[in-house]
Amino acid sequence: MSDGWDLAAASDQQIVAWAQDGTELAFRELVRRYQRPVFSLIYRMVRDREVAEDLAQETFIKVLNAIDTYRPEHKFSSWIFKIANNAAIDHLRRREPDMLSLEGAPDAVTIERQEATALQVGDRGESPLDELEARELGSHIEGAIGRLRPEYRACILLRHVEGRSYEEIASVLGLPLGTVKTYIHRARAELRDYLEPLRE
Amino acid sequence: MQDDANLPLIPDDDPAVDRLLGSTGRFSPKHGFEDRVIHRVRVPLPRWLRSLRDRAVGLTSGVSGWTILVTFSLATAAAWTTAVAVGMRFWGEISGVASGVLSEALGLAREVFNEGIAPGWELTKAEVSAWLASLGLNPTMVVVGYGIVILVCAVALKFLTAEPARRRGTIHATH
Repeated sequence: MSDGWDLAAASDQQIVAWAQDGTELAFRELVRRYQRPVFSLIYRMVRDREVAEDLAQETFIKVLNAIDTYRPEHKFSSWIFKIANNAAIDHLRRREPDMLSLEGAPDAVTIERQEATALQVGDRGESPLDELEARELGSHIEGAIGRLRPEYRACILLRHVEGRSYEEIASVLGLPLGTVKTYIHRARAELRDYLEPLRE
Repeated sequence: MQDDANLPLIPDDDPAVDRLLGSTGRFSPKHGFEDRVIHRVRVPLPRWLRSLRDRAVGLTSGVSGWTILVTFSLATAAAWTTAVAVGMRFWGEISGVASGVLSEALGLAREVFNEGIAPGWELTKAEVSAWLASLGLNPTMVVVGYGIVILVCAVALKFLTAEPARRRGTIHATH
């Protein structure tokens, strides 16, 4: 690769410009950068790994096939999160409202299906006891996030997992800034109640 | 719920909740996600090619198909006639230069073969024959033996890697 093509160090805007110029490596770099954030957001929203995979894939395909329409004055991350969030919300609207269980989707009648739809809290390479504690803690937090209303959940995930600003969250979700602040405020209050036993 | 009343409007003040939320990680999609996405994405043509195409389309927009056909045919005929005329005019020079280059290249190749490859081959052959003779083996027999072994291996490999024959009329369920 020639000079000026340092993909890892380049900004999103630069990568998008290369992608618009027809460079496949730039497309790959965008997928590499955003596959985990996008998949995590969708997975935590829909709570089904298979569905999250499909929705994340559709999100990327939609974004990358429309890369020519991207305007550099907006953040690429806002654009992709917006499409990911819309995909997740559309899916949740099509399904029954309460399919949120850490043990698997409510329609999961077999053990295999329950395992497939249960949220897998990650292994962090700690000692077995620490790992067990971390998994338990992670399960509680994921469970608490899963009990939030979808719009609260999207706000809290974008704010606290993805570290986005209130302004960006407002842009991603198409909500007024005040509403975003209110949602995060209420979500945090609910989470505080759910997580009360873990706080000491 | 007593604490809720004290929460500020900008709600980033609860370190315990922050810490718990901050401890959540990200999930990864299944291996091969990137390839699956890229496989379904239409990578656009390079910008210069698109602008060339757009220019060509712009040049021909508003022009009838017959005009394009006649212009294209005349331009092709003119280019071909010019090329043939130039070729005939300078044929002597062109063929002279070409044959000169060809004979020089052939001479160089012959030189390399005669002075490098052929003596090297003869020397290697002699060395190998002497070595085989010291082991009490006939070089011809060794070569024939190798040929047979390679042939047998090739046949065995063909059978081992052959796709199993498909059964006719079998219906594979998808999902």
